[in-house]
Amino acid sequence: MLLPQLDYVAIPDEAETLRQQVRDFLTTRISSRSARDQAYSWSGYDPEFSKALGKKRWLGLTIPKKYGGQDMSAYARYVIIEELLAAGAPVAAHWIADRQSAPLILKFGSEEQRLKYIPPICKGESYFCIGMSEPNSGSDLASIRTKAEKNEKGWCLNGQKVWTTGAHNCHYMIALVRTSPPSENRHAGMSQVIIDLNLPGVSIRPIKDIAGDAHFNEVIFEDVQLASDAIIGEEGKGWQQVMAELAFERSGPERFLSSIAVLNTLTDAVGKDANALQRREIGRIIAKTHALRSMSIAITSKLEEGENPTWHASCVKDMGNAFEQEIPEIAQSVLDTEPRIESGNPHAEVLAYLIQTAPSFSLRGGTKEILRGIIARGLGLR
Amino acid sequence: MRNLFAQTAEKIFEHQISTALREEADEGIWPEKLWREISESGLTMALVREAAGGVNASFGESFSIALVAGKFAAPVPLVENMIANYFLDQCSIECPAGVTTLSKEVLILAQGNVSGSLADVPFGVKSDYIVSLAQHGHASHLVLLKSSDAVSAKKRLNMAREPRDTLTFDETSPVAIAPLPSHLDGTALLRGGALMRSAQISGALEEITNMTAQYAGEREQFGRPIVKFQAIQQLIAQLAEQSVLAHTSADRAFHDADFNPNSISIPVAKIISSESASLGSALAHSIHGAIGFTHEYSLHFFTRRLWSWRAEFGTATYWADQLGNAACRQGADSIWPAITGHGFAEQI
Repeated sequence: MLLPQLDYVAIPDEAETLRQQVRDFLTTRISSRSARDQAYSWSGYDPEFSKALGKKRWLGLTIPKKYGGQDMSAYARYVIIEELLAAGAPVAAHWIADRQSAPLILKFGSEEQRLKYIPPICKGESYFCIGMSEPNSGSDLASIRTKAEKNEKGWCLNGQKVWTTGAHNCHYMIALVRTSPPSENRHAGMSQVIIDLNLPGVSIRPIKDIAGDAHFNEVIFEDVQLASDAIIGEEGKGWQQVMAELAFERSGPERFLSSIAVLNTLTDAVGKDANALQRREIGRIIAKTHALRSMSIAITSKLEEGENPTWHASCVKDMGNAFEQEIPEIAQSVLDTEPRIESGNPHAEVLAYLIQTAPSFSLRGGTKEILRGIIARGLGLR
Repeated sequence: MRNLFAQTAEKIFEHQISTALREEADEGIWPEKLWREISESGLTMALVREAAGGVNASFGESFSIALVAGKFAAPVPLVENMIANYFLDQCSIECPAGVTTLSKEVLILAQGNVSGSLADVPFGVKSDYIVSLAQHGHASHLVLLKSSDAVSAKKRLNMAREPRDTLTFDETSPVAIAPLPSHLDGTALLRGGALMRSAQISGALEEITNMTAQYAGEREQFGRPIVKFQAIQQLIAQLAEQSVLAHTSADRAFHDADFNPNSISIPVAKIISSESASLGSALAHSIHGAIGFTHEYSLHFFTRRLWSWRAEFGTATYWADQLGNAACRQGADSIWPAITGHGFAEQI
């Protein structure tokens, strides 16, 4: 076995120059938001904010200009999204579309699809969600049953997706569906289809989560008629295309920054009189954030070079999620603060929110067991 | 350059380091032939400028030397000599021939002579020279001392049986002395040592990850190799993660090579590698079962070093306290700029 190590690559200066611009923009735009709102991280929905980012040309950074993008490097995008996340900016509306739908359509879509779907994404006006899980298909994604059957008008879609983040606020879903019946090769016969969520036969029902919010949904398809060009990429290659998306989905800073709001409120709550335990734990959190960020940037360099760093992305997500989950626990253990839904105490409120949402961090986008399985396979152990 | 260094070091170590040699080193026998090959290769002069007889490599290029030294559990002060020479050269002091090590402690300087005790000096007694800091008022100086000039020398061993000696000097005249240049301060040698240990730990973690995966593929229980069990696969995956995290973080610290007292990438690398050393050693031993706990099987050469190195040149707790203290003093708004930039506005 050869352990694939990851060498550090620094963010180039031309991408770094964007950082201060983003900070200045955020200071004028969202500095009055409460700590509690910042803690929403990439679950905070604000289409006006997304459109403002589009106006600043900070969406579709890596997309060619022809499709409304900026034709810049993956590093430029990295700098912008990490600044947005660190500030707790409300990025949910455009997040999925910018992170993976636009790159997916660019890579696998037809020229017509690119010209139709990507420019509005870059303007922050068109929002996408991802249709993967189903009621009986969670970690075992290949067992999905939602199917698109060919008819004279295109494809007839039937089935159900679940845990679809943001579906109630999105214009489109890119879903993994069966386009031929299951066969011996369980990864064959699936395709990615793009679904206009306003079509007849689509019903979206929000699911209230543990913290009382409704970010995710069940989406039901009853005889939804899709046009013949609804398939993205190649019919039957959906599984391979989904796997190619994972490096984008799993290596970004949103996989280790979800709890940064409580690091900030904790640090200010303990202040200059911090005791040794508090200082040590705050120092550890800073160190781990720094180290995971170094890995995430190194993976960005691989994306920039067109490599597929899925293995390393799995490492970042697994360690990053465990870390995001550990932070609220540390915050609770080093300072006597009772978490409160509403109290006027920012630390108590952020703590209450993150303690409740932390369990989802290692579920969304692939569980720790699935990720470790991918890592083991990459090492040739299975 | 990085690959060339890695190949050079690997070639020497593969040729010279065996279980027998590591066992002899455990018994206190100095591996003379190994050291001679290392000296002749120029690896200890990697970070020294060409004008001073060095290779003039960057820290980024030299990372692989320290990494490979850890991967082979090389029982010699290669990294200590390499970083000691760097500091000598930065102060325009000529690097002496022979074995040179460094100390994280600070001596008192008065009338050109130094006094005080240097604890935990790697291979202190065995070395010909020690590089240390000496303070006169607020001014720090770098001093080059002959270890034989110590008035007392106490031999001590870490868990890997590597010498970590205490040498005491009393109004000793240094071989050379120079004021520190402006980019270095009184924590520079501590940081230099921490930087080297972070790379060695990364190398040792990589080695035990490979050893563990190989063992799990060979060891059969319940009629099949234990690596076929998901429970074992998941543990090895976590071990690999720790190895990669430590590697990238150490590589980053070498890349930045920032000894500035405000900077954080060296402290981060030491915190991360030290914590990964703890987790990684525990996982490797767990997967190996009882055989890994024996002297006969080689895992202990690495895990005893990991447990030793994580405590040297500042534990994870020491450095985390430094970072946490800076953050709490300077406020939450100082944290993100410190992580994305070159450290805190004020020194940590």
